[in-house]
Amino acid sequence: MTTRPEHPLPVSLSPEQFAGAFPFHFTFQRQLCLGSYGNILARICPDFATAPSLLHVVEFLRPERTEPPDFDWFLTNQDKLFLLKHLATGLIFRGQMLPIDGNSRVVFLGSPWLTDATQISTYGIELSDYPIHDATIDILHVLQAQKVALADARKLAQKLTDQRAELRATNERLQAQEAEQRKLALVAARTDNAVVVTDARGYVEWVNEGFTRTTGYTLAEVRGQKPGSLLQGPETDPRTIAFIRESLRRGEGFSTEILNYRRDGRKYWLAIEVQPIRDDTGKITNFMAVESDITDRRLAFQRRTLQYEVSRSLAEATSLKAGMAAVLRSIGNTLDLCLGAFWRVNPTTLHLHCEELWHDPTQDARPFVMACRAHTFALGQGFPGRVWASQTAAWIPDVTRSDNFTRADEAAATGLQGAVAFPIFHRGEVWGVIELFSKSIENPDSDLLRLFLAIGNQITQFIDRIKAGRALEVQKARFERLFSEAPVAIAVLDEQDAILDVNREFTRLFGYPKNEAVGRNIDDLTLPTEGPGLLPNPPPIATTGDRISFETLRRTQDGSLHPVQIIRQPVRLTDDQVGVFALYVDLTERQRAESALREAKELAETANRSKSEFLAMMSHEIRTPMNSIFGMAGLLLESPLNDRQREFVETIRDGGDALLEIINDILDFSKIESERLSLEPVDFDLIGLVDGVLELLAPRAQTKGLELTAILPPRLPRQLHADDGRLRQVLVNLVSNGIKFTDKGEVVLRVELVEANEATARIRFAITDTGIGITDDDQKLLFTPFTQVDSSAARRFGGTGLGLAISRRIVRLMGGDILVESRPGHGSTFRFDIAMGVADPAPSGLEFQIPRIAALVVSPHRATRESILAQLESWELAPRSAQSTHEALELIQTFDGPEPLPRLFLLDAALGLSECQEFAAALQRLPVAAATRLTLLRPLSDSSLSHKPAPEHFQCVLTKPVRPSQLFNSIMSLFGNGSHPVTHTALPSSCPELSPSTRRLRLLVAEDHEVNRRLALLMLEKLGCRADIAGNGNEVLAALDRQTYDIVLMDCQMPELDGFATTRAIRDAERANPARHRVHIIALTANAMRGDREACIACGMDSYVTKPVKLDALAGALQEAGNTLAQASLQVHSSPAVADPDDLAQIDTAITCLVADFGPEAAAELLGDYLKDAESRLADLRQRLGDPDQETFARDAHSLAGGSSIFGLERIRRLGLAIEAASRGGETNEVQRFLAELSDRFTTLLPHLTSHLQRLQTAPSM
Amino acid sequence: MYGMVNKAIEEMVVMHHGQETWERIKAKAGIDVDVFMSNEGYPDEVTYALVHASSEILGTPVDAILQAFGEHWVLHTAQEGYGGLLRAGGKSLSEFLINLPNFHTRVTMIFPNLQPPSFSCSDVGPTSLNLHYKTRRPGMTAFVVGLIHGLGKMYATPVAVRIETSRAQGADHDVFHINWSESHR
Repeated sequence: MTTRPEHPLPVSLSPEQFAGAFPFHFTFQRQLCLGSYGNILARICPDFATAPSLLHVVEFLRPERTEPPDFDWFLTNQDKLFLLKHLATGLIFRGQMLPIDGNSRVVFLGSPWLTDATQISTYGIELSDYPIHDATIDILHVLQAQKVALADARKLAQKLTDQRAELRATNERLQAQEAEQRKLALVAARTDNAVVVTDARGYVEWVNEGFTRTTGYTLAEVRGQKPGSLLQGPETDPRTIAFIRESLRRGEGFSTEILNYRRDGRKYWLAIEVQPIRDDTGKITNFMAVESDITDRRLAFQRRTLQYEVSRSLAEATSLKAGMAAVLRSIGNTLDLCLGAFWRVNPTTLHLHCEELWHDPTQDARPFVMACRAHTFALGQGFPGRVWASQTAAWIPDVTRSDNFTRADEAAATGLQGAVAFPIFHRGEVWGVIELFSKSIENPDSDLLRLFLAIGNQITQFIDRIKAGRALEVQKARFERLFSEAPVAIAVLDEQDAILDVNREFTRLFGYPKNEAVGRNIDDLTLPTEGPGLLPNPPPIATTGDRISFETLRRTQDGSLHPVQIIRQPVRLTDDQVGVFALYVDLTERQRAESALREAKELAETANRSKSEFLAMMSHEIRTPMNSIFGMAGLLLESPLNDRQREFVETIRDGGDALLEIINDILDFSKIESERLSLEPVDFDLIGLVDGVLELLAPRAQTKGLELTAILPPRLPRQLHADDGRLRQVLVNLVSNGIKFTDKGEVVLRVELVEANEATARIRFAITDTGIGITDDDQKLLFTPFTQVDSSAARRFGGTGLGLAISRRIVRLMGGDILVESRPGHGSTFRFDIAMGVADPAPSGLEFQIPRIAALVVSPHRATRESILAQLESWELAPRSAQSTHEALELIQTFDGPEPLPRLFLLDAALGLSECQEFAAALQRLPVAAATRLTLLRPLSDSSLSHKPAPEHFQCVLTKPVRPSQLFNSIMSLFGNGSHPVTHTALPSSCPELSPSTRRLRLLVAEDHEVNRRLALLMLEKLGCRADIAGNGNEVLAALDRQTYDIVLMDCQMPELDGFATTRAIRDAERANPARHRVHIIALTANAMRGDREACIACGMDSYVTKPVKLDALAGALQEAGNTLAQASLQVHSSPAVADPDDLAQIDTAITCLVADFGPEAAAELLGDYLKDAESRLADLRQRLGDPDQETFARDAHSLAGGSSIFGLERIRRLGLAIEAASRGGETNEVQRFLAELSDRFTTLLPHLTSHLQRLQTAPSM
Repeated sequence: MYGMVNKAIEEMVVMHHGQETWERIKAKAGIDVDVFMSNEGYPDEVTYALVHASSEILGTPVDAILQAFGEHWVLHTAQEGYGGLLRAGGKSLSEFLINLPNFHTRVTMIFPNLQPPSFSCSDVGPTSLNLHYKTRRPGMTAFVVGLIHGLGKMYATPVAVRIETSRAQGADHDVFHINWSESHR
């Protein structure tokens, strides 16, 4: 440090000032122990406070040293720049080591060294930590400025690189352009066209080789010349020259055609295109002309024009003469000729005659014209004759100097020189020759000759056309005649059906002359204005459309309608018009014949129909009284009768049964005969169906002491799809036949599954009896209608002999056939297979898990055993069987099989009751007794067991034939977990009581099933009711029409009209006639299926009892109906006579309708009359209450009712009818009550009616 | 004028309007410079011409453009040009403003040929101060306003600037009264 002598004062700083000036300083002494240090250093390097030695906190990077420094090293290096690295942070410090206090301590004066602004935050330093005098931050700024400058330099360098690349690309493009220009210059030099470059004034600077070739002048000859002065000549059009000069003067480009002269004086035509060439300032420096020789092109144009002119003349010509004249004129004018002649070969004279002549009208051609007219030429004679002979064109340069031209003098007189002639061919032969003359010598020109030959060909075609046109005209005339004379009416129509033409027959048929028809629309003219022919023609058809034909009616001019067949044939009338040929064939005669034929046929059909209807009606009419006979006989049988009486009645009933069966057969057969029998397939339960057949016929079999059994295989599809009614009919027929013809033994209905898949099952039904059998001969007659195998049998067994015939027809309809195997004395088997649809299985009723028990069936009848075994097997129980109790006992006593010991014993009562009981007793003595259960199988009609509990030792009794559901129930009750009630077939029950009013109700039982009908009647009798019966829906309706019933017990499945349809018909009738008594309908339905109840209620039934009908269920339903009816009658009788708003609304509606229909005046009149009449009648009726003349009373009440309905007085009307009915029935009390109610109601409604009347009377007339 | 200013104008136009617009502005201004060197001095006319051409072509008033340039300068151009030094200029807006004179002194040191403006602070309070802006170049007041707003954004400090005195209205130099919200410090 140097100091100025006059201020020897050393810098003296306070400790604070020193710390502010050197915030990063630190001191240490000889042992390198740290002393004081700056405040900022303390913050960024806190380990200075605790480190024992300087060497623990910093490493010395510069000056370089191999050993750890000692204090003296610092003293000797005080003139060096120190670089220190703080060990903990890596921060570099720069500064100097300054010895102080007489070299006893050293102070470090410096600061952190940063090379990048980002380091500031890394070390937790702030710019303000540095004292202002410290240049570190300034250096950072410099460094940052350098960085930015570097980035800018990089960007600039990149930009320069990009620009250089762009420059290179531009350069390449320019070079390419230059090459292109060189190429173009070369093209200009070498092109075939002449190219001339002149200066701005038009003096030649350069011409190309093409110019020299075209003009004959070289560049040297023309340089400095004006091209026009060299090339233009006397025939050059001065207007073109002027145009060129003017364009050049204006400095404009142009193009034109001009006649020039070659160096050798020859003329040529050229097309020239001139463009000015300008410098950068737009000043014209040069003109460039491109010239092409178009001499040939111009000649070609002249000849094309000729060809066109000839074609046009021929196209326009309508005759040969006109055509030839036009051709001569066209050639002459276009080629600047003087004269032309047409020579035609005369087929008779075989000479050429001049037929047409043309000459230049400015010339006097008379001498030559006359010569031509005067001459004819034979083949080979004269100029035309030579052309005829050579069949080709010929040329004479100068006829006046030719030795071979006969008319040379006349030609010379006319001034003709050059001549050419060419032949015209038709059908391969020369037809004529054309001769042409010019006023100058003409050298042969092969192109022109070719052109003339082509013209010759055109003329040939023209001749063809003219001749074809003539032929066409002839044809057209022929067709026109055909059209006009045709015996069919024809109209030619355009696309919109407007008439273009009609023929004579059209005029005859429709009465319109052609002039009236044309232009009118065909429909306007002929479409009937009303009636069946009103349907218009089909829409116009395109030309590609097909012909259509239909029969309809059409109107003629006098308005009458004619039957016609219309044939519409789309046609193309002209190239652009589509139309229709409409042909009308008059069908009047044909229809007359057809109508006669039809009438005859209808007559025959009516007769046939009458026959069928008669048959059906007769059958029906017989059925209805038969039901009465049958019903009454049934009731009679239930009453106390002595034996003789009973026998009579039973004979009546059986006779009725037989008669009904015959009638049903006849009905079915007539249906089959008239092919009206159709199948109505439904989903049904086959097992249920077989059960039903057995149930129906079991009584009959048992009466004869026959075993009736059904054997159903395990795994039979339960739900099938077929006409179950018809199948049942066939089975009933075959089984009842079996019963009929068997005196002893059994009848077995066996069902077998032949084959099945998911959709269909083929099922075999076999009905086997042990009856009398049939001989082979008789088997052939079996299925013949109205034939009984044995007339004695017919007497014995009755029947129409139709049953088998019907059954076979039904089975055939179902796709099968009935086969029979029989031997006299050995019984018969009737067998048929039919395929049925497999329906989705309905939820099984047998939802309980059947107990796994072994069973033993003991029966003397094989079929019974087999039937029950099959059923048990189908439940996978392991059944065994025995023929006798002896065999059964033996089986049990010696039982040692792997199977379980039987626990269920089913004993057939046919074994004999005492034997069964003995067996039971014996079984009780065995050790297994406790686990066993016994079931007795007995016939339905066994009176010894009827209504009695099971005999001793037996836990259950089942009736035969045993149905699966019975068997199942019994097993469940005997071996189940107790949830299933014990079932007995005939449970003794106490009879429920009906109220007296219910017992008095009038009942109708609608039921087609004989047994069920009887059962119902018996039950009703037990309940103290009386009932009439009906066999089907139609009978129900007839019965209801005849008399009033309170309740109908309605079987749902009935033939002809089922319960649902019948109910709907009843309800409809009731709605239509409100006076009619509403009948209460109780449904009787066989299947207790879900949804049945809903179906019954939906169709209008009131309640519902399932079959088999239980007495208490029936009683409940009847009592409920009785209560409802009593309540309803109470309501009717006590309904208050106040003006119901609904009544008033009805009146308003009815009167509004009346006014709308008849006008207010008439309505007022009607209403006035009614009110007057009603009042007087009411008074009358009240007076005559109790009058013996009930008929008059009833008629008055009826009249009152009738008038009321017009004015919407519905309730009054019903009351009137009720009075009428009660009066006729002699029910005086009812009459009195109804009349009182009617009067009340009338009085209540009278003000409303009167106000209507007043309003109508004052209303203005409409 | 410092090249970085022109660069800021270029960057902002290109960022928001595309290179093509920038070329049009340059053509309009008659400026044929491909790359502005950040640390190079350019005639002030270049900057003025660019600003006016931008105003015309973008249809935006000159002051609005200058203010936007000011903001862009702080938030983009200077971040790049000064790197960490800008951010290290202070822990808060007020600190930065107080350090601003030193900052410009250093620029003066490094680029002696440039004539950067000078800044000084007075009336420093906890949420406001007066910034004195002295320059030999007229018309850059809006640019400074934009700078201050840009700094406010940089420090996430809502800032309000009021021109206290203005050279345009005859004062010796521009004085900006700057208010900021303390809570964002």
